[in-house]
Amino acid sequence: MTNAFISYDDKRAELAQLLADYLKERGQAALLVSRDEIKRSGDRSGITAAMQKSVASYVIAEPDDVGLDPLVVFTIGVANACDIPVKIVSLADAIEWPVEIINELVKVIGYPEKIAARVHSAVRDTEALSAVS
Amino acid sequence: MGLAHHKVFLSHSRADTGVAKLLRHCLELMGGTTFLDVVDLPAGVTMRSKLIAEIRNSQEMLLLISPKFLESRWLDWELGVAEAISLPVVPILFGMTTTELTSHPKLRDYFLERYCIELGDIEAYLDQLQMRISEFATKQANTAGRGVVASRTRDGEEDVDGVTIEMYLEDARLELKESLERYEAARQLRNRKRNQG
Repeated sequence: MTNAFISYDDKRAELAQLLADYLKERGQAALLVSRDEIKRSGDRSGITAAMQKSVASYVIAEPDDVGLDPLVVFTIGVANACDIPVKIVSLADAIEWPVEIINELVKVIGYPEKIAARVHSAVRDTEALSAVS
Repeated sequence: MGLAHHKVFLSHSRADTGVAKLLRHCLELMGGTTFLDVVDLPAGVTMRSKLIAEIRNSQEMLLLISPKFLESRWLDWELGVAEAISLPVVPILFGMTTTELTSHPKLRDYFLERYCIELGDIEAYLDQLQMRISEFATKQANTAGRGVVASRTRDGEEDVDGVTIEMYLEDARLELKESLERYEAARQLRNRKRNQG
C-alpha cells in the first residue's frame, strides 16, 4: 500500500478524515498532518518526514489560504522538492470530488446545504456532459 | 575542470536587493559562490524548477529576514525546498531585531526556536562562513587528490596591481558593515519620528 500525505487545519479535520477513508478504500494509506498542530509546536519536520514517505499529497485549504497560510506554501515547497504531485483540496474544486464524499460532507460536518446543492448540480452537469461525450 | 566552491543560496526580498548584492560580493571574495535570483536567474526560465536546482546545488541558504521579506510567499516555499533536502538555513535579521521579529504579525513559527543572526553579529557570521568555505575547499581538494588548497585560491583570480584578494575582501566587509549600520541608523531615526508624531 502506498502513502498519501494529507495536510489540514483543525476546522477541516473531519474533511481530512473523509478524504483519508476515501483514499484507503482505493489502496492508499493517508499520513495526516495537522497544520494547527505544527503551528503550536513550531516544528515543521513532521511535514517533511510524512511527505518523504508519500507518493501523492493533498492540502486541504480554501483558495485564500493558499497564499496566506505560510504552512501551505511551505508544504508546496517540500512537495515540489520531493517531486511529489500536490493537490489543493478546496470547496472551489469540490466539483471534482466524488458525489459520495459530498453527501458525507452534508451529513457529517453540516456542509452548507446551498453550497452542497450547487456542487451536486455541477457534478450532475459534468456527469451528463461526460455521458454525452 | 575546477573544483566546486561552497555555495550560498541568497534568499531575500526584492526591496533588499542592494544589501543582498553587497553580501554576495563579500561571499564571493571569501571564496564561496552564490545564487542571487536578480543576478543569476535567466529571464524566461521556469522559476520553480530552476530555484529547486539551485537550492539542491547549494551548501547553505542565507535568509535575509526583513519586514518586507516576511510579507513574501517565496520565503516559505524556499524554506520548504531547503527543509526537504536538509539544507542548513541561516537567518540574518535585516531592518529588525529579534524582539521585533518575535512580535511581528507575520512571524513564522519556524523562527521561534531558531537562532537568528542580528545585524551586530554579521562579522561573526562571516568568520564562521569563512571556516565552512575553507573546510569545503579542503574536502573538495582531498576528493580530487589535489591536497590542501587555500580557501581563497580561486581559479583565475590573482592579485591585481598589488592589491590582494584579502584587501578587496576587507573593503567589501567594511562596505557591507557600514551600509548595514547606515540603514539601521536611518531606520531608528524613522521609528523615533513615528513615535514622536
